[in-house]
This record gives sequence, C-alpha cells and structure tokens, in this order.
Amino acid sequence: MTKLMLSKILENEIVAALLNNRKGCVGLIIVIFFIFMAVTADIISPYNPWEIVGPPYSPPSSSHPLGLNDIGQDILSELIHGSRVSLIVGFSVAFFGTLIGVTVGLISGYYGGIIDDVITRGIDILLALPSLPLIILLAAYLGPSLFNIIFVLSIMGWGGIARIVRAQTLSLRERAFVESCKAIGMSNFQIIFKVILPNIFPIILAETVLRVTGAILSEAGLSFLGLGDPTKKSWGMMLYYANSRFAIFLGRWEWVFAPGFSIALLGTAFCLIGSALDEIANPKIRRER
Amino acid sequence: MSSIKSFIMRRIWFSTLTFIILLILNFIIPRAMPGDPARILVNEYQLPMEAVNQLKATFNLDKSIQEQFLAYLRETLLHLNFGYSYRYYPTTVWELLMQRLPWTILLLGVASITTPAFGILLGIISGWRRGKKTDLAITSTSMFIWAIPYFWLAMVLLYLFGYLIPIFPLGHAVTPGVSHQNLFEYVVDVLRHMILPIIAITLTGYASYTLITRNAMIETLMEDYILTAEAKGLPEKKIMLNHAARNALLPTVTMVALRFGFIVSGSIYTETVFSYPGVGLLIYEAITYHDYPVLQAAFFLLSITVILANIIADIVYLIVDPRVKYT
Amino acid sequence: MKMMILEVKGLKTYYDSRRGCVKAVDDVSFNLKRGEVLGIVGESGCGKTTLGLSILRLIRPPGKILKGDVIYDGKINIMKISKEELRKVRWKEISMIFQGAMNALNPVHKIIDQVVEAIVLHEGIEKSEAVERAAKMLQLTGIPLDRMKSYPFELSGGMKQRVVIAMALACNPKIVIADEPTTALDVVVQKGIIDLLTNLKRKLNLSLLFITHDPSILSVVSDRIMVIYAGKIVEIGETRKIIEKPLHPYTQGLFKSILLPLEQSKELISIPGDPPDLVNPPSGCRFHPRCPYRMELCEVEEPLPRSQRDGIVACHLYG
Repeated sequence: MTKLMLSKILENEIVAALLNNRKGCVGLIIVIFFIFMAVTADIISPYNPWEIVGPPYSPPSSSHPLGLNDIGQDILSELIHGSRVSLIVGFSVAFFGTLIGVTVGLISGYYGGIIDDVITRGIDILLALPSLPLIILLAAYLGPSLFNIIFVLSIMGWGGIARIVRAQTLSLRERAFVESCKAIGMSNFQIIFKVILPNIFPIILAETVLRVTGAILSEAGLSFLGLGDPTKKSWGMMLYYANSRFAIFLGRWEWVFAPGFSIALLGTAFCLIGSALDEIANPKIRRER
Repeated sequence: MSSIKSFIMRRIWFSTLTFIILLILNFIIPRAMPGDPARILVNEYQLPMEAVNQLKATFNLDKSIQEQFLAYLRETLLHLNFGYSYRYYPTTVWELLMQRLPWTILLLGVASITTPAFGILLGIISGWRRGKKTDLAITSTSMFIWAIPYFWLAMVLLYLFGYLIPIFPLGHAVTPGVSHQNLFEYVVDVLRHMILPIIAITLTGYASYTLITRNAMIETLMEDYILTAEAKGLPEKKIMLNHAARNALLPTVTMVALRFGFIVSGSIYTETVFSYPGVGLLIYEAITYHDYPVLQAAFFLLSITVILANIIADIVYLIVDPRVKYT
Repeated sequence: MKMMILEVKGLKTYYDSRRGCVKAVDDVSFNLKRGEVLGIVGESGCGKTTLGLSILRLIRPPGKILKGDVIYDGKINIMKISKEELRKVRWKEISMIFQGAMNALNPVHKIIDQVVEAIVLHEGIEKSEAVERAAKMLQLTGIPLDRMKSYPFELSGGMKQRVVIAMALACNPKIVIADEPTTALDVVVQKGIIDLLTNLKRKLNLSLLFITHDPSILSVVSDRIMVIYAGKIVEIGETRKIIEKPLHPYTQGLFKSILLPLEQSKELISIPGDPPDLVNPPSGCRFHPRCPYRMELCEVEEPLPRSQRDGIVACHLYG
C-alpha cells in the first residue's frame, strides 16, 4: 500500500521536475507528437503505404506531398507508418536492455566477490567487442524480422547500464541504512529490490531514455543495410530503398530527407528528455545558478 | 618499472581473452543458426554439386564438434583461410578482403585522425568558454548531430555537394574508367573522392569526443595550477592549451581508441552511401547477397582491428601521462 | 620613491553562494610599505585568501570584486588597468605563493619548465638563459640540481613549496603575496621555509604580504601585523606592540591563545563562540557575540577604524 503511494509520488516528482526543465519539455512534446502519429497512423495516413498509387519516382504534388517511391507507394504514408517501428523498437530494446542490465548490475554489485568479478569481466568483454559487425553478423544469420532486430539489439546493448547500476549498487551497499535493513532481518532479495532499486531508479530512468535514442538509430542503421523487416514500413527501410534505388541521382531528395529527419528529430527528443532526467537525478551536473 | 609491465600484461591478457571469445563466437554463430547453408548455395547461386560438396567440406559437418573446432582454428589462425565467397566463387574470401582492405584503411586512417582532432578541439574551446554562447552553440549542435543517423548525413552531404552543387564526385574511390597520366593526378583524384566521406564520418563521430573533452576541461579548470598559470600572467590561449588541455586530454586519449570501433561502424555506412570500394561496401553486398563466409571474415577482421586499437591506446596513454609510470 | 608600495582602499569582494551573498572582503583598506613584511592573520574562512586573490584580480565567478582601488607603487591602479597591462603586472611586479602548494604545480610539466615559463614570459630573454636563471633560483630555494627535471609528484611537500617559492621569485617581483606558505607542512619543514623566506626577502629586498591563520609564525616573521575578522580589519600595528599589548579584544584572544617562548607563565585562553557567518554577519561590530568587553553600542553600531599608536583599531573601546 505504502509502496504504491511511494512510487506514485516518485513518479509525479519526476514528471513535475521534467516539465519544469525546458529541455525535457521540448523533448516530451516531440515524443508525444510521434506517439500520436504512430497510434493514429491508419487514420491520419492519406493512403495505405503498401498500395501502389501512381508511377514510380513521382515528384511531390498536392496529393502526394513527399512524392512516390520506386514502386509507386506514397512516401508520406510510409513516413507516418514508419514511426511505429521506430517507437516500438526504441522502447522495446531500451526496456529489455535495461531489464537485463539492471538485474545483472544489481546482482553483481550487491553480492560482490567471485560473482562480481566474473560478471564484470564478462561485461568488459561484451563492451570490448565491436558491436556493429557482431550485430550485423547475428542479424544476417537470424533473418530479417522485427523480433530478431529487437532481440539482437537488446542482448548487445545491456552492458553500459549494467556497469552504471553495478557502480551505484556497490556504493549503496556500504551505506548505513542498508546495514540496518540487514539487521532488521530483511532478506537479500528484499534489500535489493525494495531498498536499493528505488534509490537508483532515477538514474536508471535517465539512462534508459538515452538508450532509446541509440536503439532507434541502431534499428535505422540495420534496416538501412538491408537487415530490416521488409514486412514493416520503417524509416530505416525507406532509406535503404532510397539509397539502393538511387533516389539522389534521380533528384528525389524528399525521399531521403523525410525519414532521416524524422529519425534525427525523434532521437534528439529522447536525448533531450534523457539529458533533462540526468540533470534531475544527478545534482552534480545541475547548472550553477 | 614493473608496474608498467604488469599494466601491459593485464591489457594483453584481457585482449587475448576477448580475442578467444571472438574466435568462439565466430565459430558458433554460423553453425548454430537455422537453415542449411547447402540449400542457400543451391537455390540462390545455382552452384554445381561438386562446388556445394567442396563448400560443405569446409564446414566439416560430418566430423565431431571438437574436430570441427580444431579444424576451424587451424584454418583461420594458421592458414588465414576463411573459405570461399559464395557470390564470387571460386574467389577466396581472403582475396576479396585484400582487394578491398587498402581503401578502407585509407579512409579509416584519415578519419581516425580528423574525427578526434575536430571533436577534441571543439571540446577544448567549449569547455574553456563554459556557459557562454560558444559553448552553448557547440554543445547543442553536437547533441543534435549525435542523433542524426550517419548514413543519412552521408546521403544529405552527397546530395548537396555531389548532385545539387556538383563540387564533389558522386561516389567511388576514383573516377571509374579513367586512366591517370601520373601519380599526382591519381592522388588528386583519390583525395577528391575522399573528402565527402571523410566529412561524413567526422561529423557523425566527433560529438562524443567533444563531450568528454569538455567535461574534462571543466574539471581541470577548477584545479589550483590553473589559477597559478593565470596569476603568472600567461595569455589565455597558453593557459587553455598548455595547461588545461594538456591535463584534460589524458582521459580523452584512452577514449580515442575505444571509440575506434565506432569509426569502423561509421565507415561501413559511409562506404555504402558513397559506393566506396572498401571492406564496408563488401559487407553491405555480402548482406544483400547472403554471402556468409564474407560476413564472418569481415566481422573477424574488424574485431581484431578494434582490439589492436585498444592496446595501442593504452600504450599511448602510458607514454603521455608521466604519473602512470609510477602508480 | 614612494614609501607605500601598495595601497588598498575600500576593497569589497563578495561571493554568490547557494545560501546567499558571502561578504568575504568587506571594505578593507590598508598599506604595505616598501621592504616590509605585513602579516595578515585571522581565522580560517575570514577572507584572508580572498583578499590576497583580489589584489591580483584573480577572483572568478561566483566571486566578484565589487569596488575598491589597489594602487601599486603609487602609479598603477590594478583594479582599473586593462587585461593586457594586468598580465604584465602579474608575477613580474606582484607574485603569489598559493595556499596548498601541492596543487599549484601543473602535474604534467617538469618543475624547471614551470619556472622557465614565467621567466620567458616576462623577461623577454632567450630560453637557454631563462633555464639558467631558473636553475639558479631553484638552487637558491634549496632544490638540488639533480631534481630540477622532476615532475611535481616526485617531490615531497616541503620541496614542492620551495619550487613554488622559487617560481614566485623568478621574475624579481617587488611584492610577494604569500598565502599560508607553511600550512600542511610539518613543523621542522615549516621552520626551513620561514627561514628561507626571511633570507630571500632580505637578499632580494622584497615586500611581503604574509597571510596565515597561525599567529605564532607572524611573531618571528612580520614587521607589522594586520588582524582580520569576518571580512573586516580589526587591528593593524607593529608586531612587537601587538604582541606585548594587543588592543582589540579579538587580537587579544588570538595572541593569548598561543604560547610564546619564554612566556610559559601566561595562561592559554581560547576565544569562545562560533566563527561568524559571512552571509549574515552579526549586526554592529561583527565580533560582539564573542567579545568579553561587549557593550550595548557594539550590537548596534559598527566601529570605524581609528588611528591608534601608529596603527589602526576598530573597536568602541578606543574612541
């Protein structure tokens, strides 16, 4: 009961602080805009993005503000639907990556000893491996599907957050109030999840949001290389076709500009929110008056 | 003196461990994946059965896992035999890589200098002028550029300066079909083709250097010896560079090599956009044509490069920071 | 040649902090005579270091020098000159020995290079000549030749202090502001440093502003003593007179709380109460909450500095 109230207050504090922060506000607005776009895609999209509605490579016109792609599909409609993939992948990868990373970090930081040594070494190696080639390799073998992309990006991306969580856990573990929890008789499990976790929650939140940007960019990158899911419209896939079907040489720069700009905009938005959360969570970075 | 040795030993041990994991991964992934390579070969490439059998033999699927692994190690490490390319059969993967590698080395070589240099310079200036307009301008543009997908930036550059205002060529490493009179012309042609890709890689990669350098500068500027330098009456530039930057750069140096992996990925995208005939473009083609042996080998090669770069970074750090010698 | 090599008039330096505005130096005026050692003493946090930094305009945000004049050699007002001219005055005319020499040296430069840097900048001579001069200076302060190419972290605290002194004297300044040059050193090393400073001062005919929180040192080092409390001057006077008969109650507390040699019969007295809050200093005389002679007037009206036996006292007991 108290835990529920506590988390509600915590959430509200964070949201309020976020809204106070100018960066966070701007980012939030942009993200909400794209979420709206994704949710109402079927309604607001002028055409079915899979439908052929005209001759290929048509330049922009009043009925097709961004023109048509190499098959004859409406680019604006593709763009609107593409927001879904970016958001889904972004949130999923950040969520799963955080889930894994936080769990590993908590365990490693709390129990210490050999477990910690082994896990830390593992994380170091994970982070030392060049990620893109490995991701490409995995994605190429697993085959192009949204699930595979989310899977690959998640398992490659939890290292950073694990490190941060581990460091935080290590420092918290030594503090007096944790000792007193042990003295009361709380189990390790309870201490980890009910005491330590809520304390590091703000930092985790900030990091997770920043990782959404990374995930969106990674998905776009993979799709651009041809590893994306051809059964879904995504901004990365749009750029893949734009590149391999010579949009630039045919002067169809809107086809190139629109999806790329959307990626950049959405990515920056999450970056802003994450940076704002970082400032809120980490008083050291907060600017001096 | 022994502490340097132990430091290097630890790094080498760590790198070796990473390398071993790499080898294992490189072995496991293709074999653990769903699908029968033979089917791909027959369906996509219409290769005759003897070729298929030959390729199958490289996998040694009839032997036990241990024997396969040993064979794999022997072939990869001793003979540098990565098998045959599916697409360009009977060309070996090694031949393909060697054809493309020089271009990538050229591109990466230059980019790995320009990107940190540009980023660090901006970081120094932005840290020195913290809170002022210059700093805000640099930090906010860097944040925005960081969120821009690299390949898109490359495409935009290509469109703007290759197509719209045709200052630079539209791709490739040299103008195709042209034979050059002399070395000078050749070099100029190569340089002309390199400029846009280098700009693309630099712009996509510089932001993290700027951020780290800026933070390091801000911390360094709070140190007492900066106050001393000011009291000595030294001019601003001298304090900024000789005193502050000199100290702030120490952690950045390590970062340079750690981010080398990032520059490598950046080059894959850049080469794809600019049709630059390096390893990156090879990878792109290999993805499109399901040329798995090439993908594996490229992964392997790139990974080794990154590991080596990390070791070099550590050694450079040792040379640059006199204090490390004695800790 | 004017007698006063430094005249400070009405100096005010405040800091902006989260708690409010810290009035670190609040309307301070004093003079430094040519060739004298003026000791500046007060509790930690009373504004002494800020005073030293203000003289060379080395205050950075969130601090700000609000007003005041610092006249050097009767000619140059440091507060009013341009940045270019200021850079010429710094180190060449007035140099500084910072508190905590450990951190005043750049960790990645060799110590001789750091001295050479100052010489090359101000004396306009060739690098090789500068190196010679730097080496001589370092030798003068007791650094052996074979350590001159060392890095700061290779030296002990005492040696680092000597390097800092050598660096401060490298350009033959007229005034040296020494801010706690002996703090954080053990007593034996302290004596060495003090002897060094006194010798050098005589040899090179320096004027010295010796800032410290330890009154016992000033008794052997300084010609005159200036006592600061809560950002304000409470007393200035000749050393001997202040030690024998301190006028201001705070000075009395300060100098009675040390055991002077040969005076073991005196009792040890400490000053009761807490150090003052520089954001909201006490009303009237800032010392009144801790003053054993406090009167009603002291709570209300701030005592102005008045001339008293060749010195200054700011206390209602005297006027």
